[in-house]
Amino acid sequence: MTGAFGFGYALCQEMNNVLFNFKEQKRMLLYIINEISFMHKPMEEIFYSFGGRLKEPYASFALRIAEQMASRNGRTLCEIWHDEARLLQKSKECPKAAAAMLFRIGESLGYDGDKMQIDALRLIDAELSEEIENRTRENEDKCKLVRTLSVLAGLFCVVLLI
Amino acid sequence: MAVLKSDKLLSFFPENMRAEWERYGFDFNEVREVRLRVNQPVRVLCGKEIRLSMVYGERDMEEIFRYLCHDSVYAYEEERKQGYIMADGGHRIGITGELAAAENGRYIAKYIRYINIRFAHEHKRIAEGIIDYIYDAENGRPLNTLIISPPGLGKTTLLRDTIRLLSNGYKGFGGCNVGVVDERGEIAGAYRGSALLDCGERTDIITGGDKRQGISILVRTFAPRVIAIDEIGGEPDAQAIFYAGVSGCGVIATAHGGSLEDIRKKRELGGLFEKDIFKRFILLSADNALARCASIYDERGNELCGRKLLREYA
Repeated sequence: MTGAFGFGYALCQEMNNVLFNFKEQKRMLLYIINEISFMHKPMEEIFYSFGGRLKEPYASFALRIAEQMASRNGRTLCEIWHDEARLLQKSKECPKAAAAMLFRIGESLGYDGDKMQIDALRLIDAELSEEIENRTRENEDKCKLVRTLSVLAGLFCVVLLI
Repeated sequence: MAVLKSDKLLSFFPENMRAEWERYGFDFNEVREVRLRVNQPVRVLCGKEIRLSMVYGERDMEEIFRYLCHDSVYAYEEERKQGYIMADGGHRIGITGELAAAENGRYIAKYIRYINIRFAHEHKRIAEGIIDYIYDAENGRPLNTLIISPPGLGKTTLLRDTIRLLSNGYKGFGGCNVGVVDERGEIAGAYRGSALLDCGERTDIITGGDKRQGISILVRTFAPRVIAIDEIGGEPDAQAIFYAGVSGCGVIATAHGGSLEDIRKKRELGGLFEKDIFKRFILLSADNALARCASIYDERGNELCGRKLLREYA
């Protein structure tokens, strides 16, 4: 019964993990948009300034990108972002759905005008908001269902064994 | 790990272009300019002009520009309208191509097709040969001085070293507060507001903005004894210098020109001569071997010092 309950709990955790990743990505986007709007800072500085304020793994993600940009190693922001996102995905810290969104954010960076850049990021931000809303609603229902089913499955096993 | 001299030069180019630059192995300290022109061979100025085999196309030029802007072109819009961007180390990168109208009657380079990377190099102690002429020992303050030269002869370098000497003090002269209005960040090699080249210990530097605004801030809040300005040219610059002069600050400035007469003839700067603002004029010139010399004149145009070789004293 404990095993079945544990399985249900793990499943709920995984669903919540995706939601957590989306929420952190949204916070990251808001920082970027605000820094561009008010301070006109270049990306490297933006990543340095908000890196420490995000939760892991995004704090390290942002700082690693900033460091690589500062080292002027010849690689573009798009390439650096892509590689770092891939590393995050491989480390399992970022679920598949969240990693896909992270790649999309990377693709929307590098516009010439600040307005164009902000609009591109706002588009992703809107998608993220929608995704967060849907997942929050679904997660509540699904978690309830999963927990109930896992308890029932556990009880069924107990009855079967008796 | 030691940084190779050529690594600094490579840092101006994206990864896919670095192999060719690496092959040439330029000594960064020797390179003064790199000129990139669309569909033309790259030329490097390091004592003499060297023609390289690389030819960059339109896409390459855009890629280089984007890389120079740290993939944040939007953050460099103001500089782009002025035709240059600054790189870490105070290196000025001139950009141009097809211009498009922007707001307030200004223009912005829409297609970047020509890039001129001018490397800022620090030459300390070159002003030691001229400092005695621009210092009023009686009153214990520097005289208002204008450094005049055609482009590329080291006006800014001389100005920077003069600032350093005035700020730190030299021989019998005690140092004083020096305010620098560095619109383009060239004097101090300023990058994101921080001076990367040595301008002395008592120097406050304002980067960006305009000269009038910069002088006003310095006079009101930083009590400078001397204000240094690079490349004056227009009427507003003359007014800004006049304001600094009447505020009791000494002024050291530079201007483009081949002779004293060139400057006198400039309508915008003529007023400064009429009001006798400048007490010393330093005229820079170069001989055939590109060695830089300075001649010094007083406010009446009398020569105080003939062509004197500007060199870094050991």
